[in-house]
Amino acid sequence: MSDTVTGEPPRTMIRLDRVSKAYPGLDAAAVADLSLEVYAGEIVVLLGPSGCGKTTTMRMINRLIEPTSGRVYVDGEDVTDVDADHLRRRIGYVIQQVGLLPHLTVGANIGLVPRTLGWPRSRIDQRVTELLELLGLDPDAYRQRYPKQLSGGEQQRVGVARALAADPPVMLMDEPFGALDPIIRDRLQDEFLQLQEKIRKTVVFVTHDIEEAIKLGDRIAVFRKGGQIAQFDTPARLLAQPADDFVASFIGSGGSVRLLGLQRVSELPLEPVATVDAATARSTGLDAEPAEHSVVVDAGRPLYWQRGGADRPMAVVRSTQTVFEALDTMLAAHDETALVLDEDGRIRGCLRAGTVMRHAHPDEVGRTASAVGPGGPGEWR
Amino acid sequence: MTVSSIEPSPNPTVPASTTVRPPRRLRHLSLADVIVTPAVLLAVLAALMVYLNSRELDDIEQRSINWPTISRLLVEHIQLVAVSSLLVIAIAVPTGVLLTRPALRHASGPILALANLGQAVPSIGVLVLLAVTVGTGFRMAIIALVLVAFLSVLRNTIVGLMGVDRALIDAARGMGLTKTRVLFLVELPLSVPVMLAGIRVALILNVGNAALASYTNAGGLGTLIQAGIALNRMPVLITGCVLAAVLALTLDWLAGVVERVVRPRGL
Ligand SMILES: Nc1ncnc2c1ncn2[C@@H]1O[C@H](COP(=O)(O)OP(=O)(O)O)[C@@H](O)[C@H]1O
Ligand SMILES: [Mg+2]
Repeated sequence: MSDTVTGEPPRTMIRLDRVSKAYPGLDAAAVADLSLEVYAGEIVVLLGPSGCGKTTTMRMINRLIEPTSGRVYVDGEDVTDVDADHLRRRIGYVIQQVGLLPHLTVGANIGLVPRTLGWPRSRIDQRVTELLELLGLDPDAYRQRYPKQLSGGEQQRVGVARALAADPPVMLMDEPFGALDPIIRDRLQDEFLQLQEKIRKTVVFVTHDIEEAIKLGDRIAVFRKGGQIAQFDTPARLLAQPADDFVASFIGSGGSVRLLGLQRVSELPLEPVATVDAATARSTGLDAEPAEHSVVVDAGRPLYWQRGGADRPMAVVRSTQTVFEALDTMLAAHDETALVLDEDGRIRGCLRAGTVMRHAHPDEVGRTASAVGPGGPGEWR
Repeated sequence: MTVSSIEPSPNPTVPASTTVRPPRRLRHLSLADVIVTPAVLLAVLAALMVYLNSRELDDIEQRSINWPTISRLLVEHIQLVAVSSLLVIAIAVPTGVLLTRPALRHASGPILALANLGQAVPSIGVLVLLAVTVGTGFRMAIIALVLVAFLSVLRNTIVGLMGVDRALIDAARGMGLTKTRVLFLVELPLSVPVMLAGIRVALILNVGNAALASYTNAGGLGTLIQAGIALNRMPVLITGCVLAAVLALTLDWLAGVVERVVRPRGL
């Protein structure tokens, strides 16, 4: 997540300083006096309706479009006037149409930039293999294929691999999953997030899809017509506190509920749970009043809440699940308390609906468990 | 009990078993393509031989229909076609490239319109006009042939280059390939099929128009045709016509083979 949490000062990787772009023949500027900072290792999404200048803004970073005025900095260097071809070899570029060269094999497509940079043949081959594996494509099966022998999803995987070929620190992605059908798009988004966990690139990602922006963005810049930023914030704050009516209407309703989809159960304070062995529970019977949260277990496996009895369904969630999913599970079980297990299935505590209500605040989202979990500040405000 | 957990998204399923073999160059060529046309052409030549052998050729006919003469005219004809076609390619392709660069792109539309118009100009007119104004002989004929065939190659070069998917060029530029590299790696290879179609048309035009060049003293198979008409000798006329036609079809067939072989794979 964003560097602000870990306390390290964020390093700026891309900085747009009051850039403008006026296309000849158009009255209004496509992008007007825009400033934007992107930190190293984060995904910044440029979000907005079609024609509001997202692509223009993105293409001014690798100078496929030359700004009319303003400066562009990449990794601290003013690149406004440097050789554009050299600049672009340091910046990955992925577009919706993918743009694989149809007369070159997958391997040759991925190897294009390394070849341009004069890498030796063996190193290029090795890199191609590495990238195909990274993107989940079997190198033996895919490197000799031609683009038209691939599905749309596979083509865009190769597109991403090609952009990563020379290991650029920065990636520009213009609606890369926009042309894919929803199921494939969803899968590629998940894979992209997993990939980003590993490679930690600085990514500028253009989309007009608010759900995609919320899912992928560490921060989201919402554009309005004329290339102006209406709000630049984390997904959580965007959902909870849209800056104005334009942003609010673009985001749509239910912001607070959708916020829950961004929060992990592990980020909330859990309450302790007592365990009672199944055999003990039987012998004690129902005479003794059970402790508030005591769960009956059999060989470590949770069975039911001692209070509710064996017949009442119990809501059980993993700490890695989202709060949204936890609430959904609780609703389905008609239970206002959910038992929380860690990845290994061990009991971690329980989550109460009231806790969710009190902590549904954008500043809570994205925090680590240690910051707010048991032992941390229990209550927010 | 409702236990639910997020499954990590399944690994992209890779159909490892389906290893698609890259298309081979020669797969563009079927056996019929390679065999049928030459067989037909050989049959036509054989028929011509049979026809000529079945007749007693008189002195006048024998002066034209003999191997040294025919082979000399054939070579002259091929020279006319080869030189003019190579010149056309050497001039029209770079011109087409220039006219599709951003700085000149606005000019390519009008030039295309002009090219379409120019193709309607009768080539005999160009030949005669040049003969009258510039003079006669091999060089003049070459100039005329180049002028007539130029437009079809130029037109197809422009159309081919403009037809290359802009997204491909954008992606290639975005990766940091230079403009020159994009031209040679992306634009030219991808417009090869359209350009070759234009070159093929130019070849055929040149074979036919070279037959008219004999009227301007440039030699070639047209000499036989002209003599056949002037001396009223059917066998001479027929020999000239058939040989010119066979040459045109042979070159067309060759161009077709080349077209299939050099067409980029993966298209
Ligand atoms: N090459 C161009 N020439 C003229 N106008 C352009 C060009 N590219 C984009 N525009 C205009 O600039 C505005 C912003 O376009 P763009 O950046 O592509 O928007 P988005 O990516 O947000 O859809 C639009 O009004 C568009 O019509
Ligand atoms: Mg766009």
